[in-house]
Amino acid sequence: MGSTFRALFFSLVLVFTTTAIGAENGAHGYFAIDAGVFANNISQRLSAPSAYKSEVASISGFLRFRPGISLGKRFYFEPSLGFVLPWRTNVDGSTMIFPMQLSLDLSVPLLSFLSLRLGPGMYSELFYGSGGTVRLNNGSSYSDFGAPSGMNLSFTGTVNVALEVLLSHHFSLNLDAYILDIMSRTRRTYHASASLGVKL
Amino acid sequence: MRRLFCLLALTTSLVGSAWTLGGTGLQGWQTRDLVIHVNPTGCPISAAVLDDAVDSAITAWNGIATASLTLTRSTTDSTTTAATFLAGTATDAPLILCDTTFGTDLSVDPSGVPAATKLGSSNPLSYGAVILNAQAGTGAEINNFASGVLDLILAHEIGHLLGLGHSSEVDALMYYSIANKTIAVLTQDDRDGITYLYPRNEFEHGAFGCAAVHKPASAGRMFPFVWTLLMIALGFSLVKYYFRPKSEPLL
Repeated sequence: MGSTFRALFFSLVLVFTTTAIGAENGAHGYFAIDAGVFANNISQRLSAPSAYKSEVASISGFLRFRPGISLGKRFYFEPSLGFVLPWRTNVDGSTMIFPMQLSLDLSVPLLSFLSLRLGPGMYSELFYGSGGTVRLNNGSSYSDFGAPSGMNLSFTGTVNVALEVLLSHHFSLNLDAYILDIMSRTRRTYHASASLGVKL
Repeated sequence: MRRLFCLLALTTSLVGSAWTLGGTGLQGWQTRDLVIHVNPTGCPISAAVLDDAVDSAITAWNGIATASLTLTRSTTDSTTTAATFLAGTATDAPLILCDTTFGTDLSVDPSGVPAATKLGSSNPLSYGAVILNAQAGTGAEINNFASGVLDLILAHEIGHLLGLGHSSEVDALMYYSIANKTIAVLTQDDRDGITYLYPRNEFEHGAFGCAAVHKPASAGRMFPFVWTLLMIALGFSLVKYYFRPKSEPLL
């Protein structure tokens, strides 16, 4: 668990370090809040039999905080932290799973109204369970099974590709793709989000 | 803001999760690279058919990006019998093997149970096997099932072997019955269970898994070095930030 918290802290350090460096250099920038939808396991959903499509993947809400730090006239560094909402929970509420997406993207303008965002990131899932037992059907009888207890955290590296369409000076439409475990043919997984951004 | 929190609290009940663990506080296997040994002796199906079914089941569990688990099938057949395993003296667990006295050995009805998983009492796990019903003339003997169903049975039992219990979600692979299923598909519920037991941590062998991919000998030593540099950078930038002239903008 020590390495887990170290990893989480490391992620936050990256975001705050870059933000602070940008701020202390007096860099021009903005702070955006994006709200929209997040779809997970897209490739699994596409390949699953029709009866299972809604079970292997889900579409949830997405809320993201995205500061933009100017790296010159054209480029912005955009570290962001997004939360998938609502978090997943089991039937009796004893187990909760909080998915999060941390991104360290570079934004490059393609056209006056269109920007491309690229960068590494991390998809994380925080598990919290209150423990105990659950009585479930075991075929011929009922048995007690263990419920998850305590906290667990997973970190999976992502490669992010996104398009930002500027609708006005303050509003933008964001289409993001997050590729998990891009190097693995068997584990590669695609998540995506579509969100409306408000630049403060 | 209060309305937003109320809305979030209401919507949390929309998304379900129903997986359980094979035992209270179970942590899964110690190793994340698990080699499964197969003994086809006594099986009413050929070794090739059994191997194919095991490979198919393993492929399903290996496809979870958020988990660190990697399963492989040993290329050499195990010689451990069900009796040896049940006596607690097997040396090559985890195992998949056939039992010709399945009903008696496991005290289950062999006409209704095609397979069962037995785990050792240690936590993290270090001992376990999937035992297939090879009892001749019984209704649930594994040669009575089509290959697709056998894949399903093995995928479900390997889920138990990894430490998962049953799920209350009907479509989950770990639901107690496979009667309504035709293919071994992992649902979000199954994925969540394995991710909980075997969470992936890209920082375990270096930042962002780069070291994990290349596995250099110095991987474990790189993280503290990068970490220290970042802490220095953070401290420096925060000090400069808080002591900046008042006229400078926040962003």
